[in-house]
Amino acid sequence: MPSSFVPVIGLEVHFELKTASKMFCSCSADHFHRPANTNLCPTCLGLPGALPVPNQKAIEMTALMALAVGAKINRRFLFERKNYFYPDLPKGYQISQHILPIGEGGAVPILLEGEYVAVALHDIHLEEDTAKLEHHGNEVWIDFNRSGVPLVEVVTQPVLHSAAAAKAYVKRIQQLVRWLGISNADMEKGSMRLEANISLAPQPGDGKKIKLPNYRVEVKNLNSFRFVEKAINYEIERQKRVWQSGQQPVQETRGFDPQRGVTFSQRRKEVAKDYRYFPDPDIPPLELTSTVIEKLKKQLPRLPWEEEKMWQEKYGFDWQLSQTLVANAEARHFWQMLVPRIKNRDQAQKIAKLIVNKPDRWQGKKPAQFWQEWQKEQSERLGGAQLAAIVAQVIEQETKAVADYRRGKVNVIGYLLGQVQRLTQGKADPQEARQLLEQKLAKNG
Amino acid sequence: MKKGDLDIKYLAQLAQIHLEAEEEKQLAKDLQDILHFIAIIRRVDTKGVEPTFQVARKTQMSRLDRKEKSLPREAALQNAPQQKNGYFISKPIGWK
Repeated sequence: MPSSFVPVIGLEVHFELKTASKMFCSCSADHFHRPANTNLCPTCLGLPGALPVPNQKAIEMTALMALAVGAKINRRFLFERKNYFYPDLPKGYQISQHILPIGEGGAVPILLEGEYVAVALHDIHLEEDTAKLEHHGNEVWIDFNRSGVPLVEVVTQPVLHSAAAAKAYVKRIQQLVRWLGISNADMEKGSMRLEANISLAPQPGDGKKIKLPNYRVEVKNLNSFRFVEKAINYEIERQKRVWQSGQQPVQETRGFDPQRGVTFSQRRKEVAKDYRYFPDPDIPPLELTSTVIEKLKKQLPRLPWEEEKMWQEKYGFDWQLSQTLVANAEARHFWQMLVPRIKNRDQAQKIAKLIVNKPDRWQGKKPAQFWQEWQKEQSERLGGAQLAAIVAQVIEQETKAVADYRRGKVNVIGYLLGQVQRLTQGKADPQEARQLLEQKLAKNG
Repeated sequence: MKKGDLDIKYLAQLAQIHLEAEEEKQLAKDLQDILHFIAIIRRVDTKGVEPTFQVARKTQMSRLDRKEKSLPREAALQNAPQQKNGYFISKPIGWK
């Protein structure tokens, strides 16, 4: 039995595309809170003789996603039948992609403790969503409105090694698909859904590669970022205990119970994995033409990670500031409107921090009004020699707090800053005052 | 079980159907015959021939993303063996 382990995690993220109509028919794709079974036609009901015709917009949205993550685009791609028998599938199969998906490979850059890490992808494929089921006692109530809504699945390689990395990745995917305008990716409404494959590999020796374990546990029902993190951490600990008891965890599908924060075996056998994929004879192979690919390449905006790096390089932002600014759509929009007025790094950093940390200072304002107020405030700001004198005065008066600080109670700096602001009627530049305080406190009194 | 042998119980489970012993025997024989037939076809030399799984056309036409009117709910539900409050009703199924 290995003495230490490294978690090996792969993620499957599903998101519904923001199209007007369904994937293979012209019924409305808007199913949220609609009366049950009102967006249906013979195709999405799986009636005999109905023929599926693929939605061009959905294909292009999927290809746009593939381009954004640098995946290889299969110019000729296929839809296949994934066979399984369940009440959420009226046809007995789901139309999906298997051997020739729209996108293969590619990588998604995430930020982990300030470093960019590329999460390698296996594939990006397009399929149809299934019906929504409600379980009432011994009955299953079926609403087929969701059946046939275009659904993209992005599958990673087993390259993630912590719950934190998995969470950062999922957040990045949500940010990206909203950025590209292809999905609302709303986990509460079910338009983004997640599954994680988790196993533990023996910790490899220095410089050696991780040897993938010959089992994996799939965890379903992860419908919030918090649950992803909790379920993965729970699974890591559970599997560790199984290994430590001298056994290997079994390959299985587990559900996540958010109330108890645990995963539980759904007792499905591995045979259920036998989906018997084969090309759908109703849908001949499709082609993405050069014209379409070129059009999509032109549509591709600057990507979130590119914009983060741009602000880091242009204005010297640290990674947290650029990440928060880029991740918050409203703040980012306001910031972009101010950028033309910004003259230097110092201004840029002050304004970006203010926008990120104090939304009440700009929300509901026009950029011009905010700018004017900010400039006035800056001109009244107390800094330089005047501020240094006041800081010196505070340090002289507050002997107890100063002594506490020097004994290691660094939190009292907040109190000392408050004293500086009191003496300056709140006009001291907070960053400068903090710097001055820290400098003076570091010197031996 | 040898490779290539049929596990009829396993197939029945995937299809969610119940088979009596007699039916199992008959179906196993029928499926074995089909496999035998396919084994003969596989002897044909198909080197350089692309797989054919449809004959309609070389590539598919797609459609524009336009929504159209759906069926009235009563029509959608009219063939349901069981329905309630506008839902299709089914028995629960053990696994997916």
